[in-house]
Amino acid sequence: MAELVAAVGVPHSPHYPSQYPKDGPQDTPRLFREVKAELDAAKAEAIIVIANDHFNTFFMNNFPTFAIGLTDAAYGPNDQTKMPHYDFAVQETLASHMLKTAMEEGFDFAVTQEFGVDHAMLVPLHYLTDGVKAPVVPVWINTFSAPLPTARRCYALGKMMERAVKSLPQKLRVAVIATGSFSLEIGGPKIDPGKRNSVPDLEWSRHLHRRIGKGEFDAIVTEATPQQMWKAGNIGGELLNWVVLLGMVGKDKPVYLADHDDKDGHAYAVWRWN
Amino acid sequence: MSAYQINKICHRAYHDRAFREAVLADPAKAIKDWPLTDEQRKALLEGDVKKLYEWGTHPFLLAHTTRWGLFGLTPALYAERIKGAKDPQ
Repeated sequence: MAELVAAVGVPHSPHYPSQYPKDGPQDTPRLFREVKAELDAAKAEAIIVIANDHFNTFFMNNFPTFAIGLTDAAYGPNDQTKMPHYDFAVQETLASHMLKTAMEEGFDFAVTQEFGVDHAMLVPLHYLTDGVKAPVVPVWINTFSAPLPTARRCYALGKMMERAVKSLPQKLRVAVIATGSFSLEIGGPKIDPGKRNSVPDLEWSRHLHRRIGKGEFDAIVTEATPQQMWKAGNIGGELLNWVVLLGMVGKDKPVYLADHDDKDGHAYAVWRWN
Repeated sequence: MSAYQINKICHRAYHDRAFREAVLADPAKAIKDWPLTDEQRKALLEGDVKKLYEWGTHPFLLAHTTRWGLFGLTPALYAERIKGAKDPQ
């Protein structure tokens, strides 16, 4: 049977690759390298990536709440992020099994069989892998265009995804990466003067970071109301990508948790098993 | 009055270089055939991001305009104008 060997939570800010080389001396690439060392040690043979699309793979003409990529190959970035282009393989057997399990359990994924992915998936893969060699399973959560799915639903989705991975009838070491900011406003009334963005609720981000460190995931699900996430900025819903991951993690505390990134309102965390 | 067509214009300008260059060259001409109301057309051409936001334009798409100064919108001007905008219902 397949096993879950690592779970990783990181940010995906699109300006990082052009500002911070992977081997750069700044905090951001250093934190990604620390996470990468854990992920490398887990020897994953497939990587599930949980992220939100930013109207690059999908648009408002057809915007899924939950979607999965089911094909053999994909590419990115499909937005204008300044970073290397990657063509990568998709783990179709795992994706197909996840879709089947989801449908049986009442989670109705939308399916795309031809797609590129945007910075949300590729910035983490850029920093955390050596050229995206292990095949990927992309899972998109609408954390971006209201109304969003509830935290409770995303948590349950994660628990279903854990069962899906562990019931795949073949040997496969699977890692999962979820990515997003806890507090971020882009282009809305809460942005800082002269800038495109801001971090409107740093204390909420710090609070979530503390909860994650203590393994208090049920409390996060209760506290992550639409009102609280919106107060944390119009991108504050990206917490939901992490909530899916926490559903997969179970009760365990992370084996790695970097200090809270007060500059950008970000967290970096790793769980490991087996 | 849905903001869908305004969202679509911002999205197109981000992804389609020819359309973006047409908007930069002559904004009124570039959006002439889009099905906007007169009020929407006026607000877009004036770069009135407060109104556009309040009508439901997605802020992430709206902020794409400042990457190229579409509709005269620099990041500083955008930040000044969006201040105090009410969240769409």
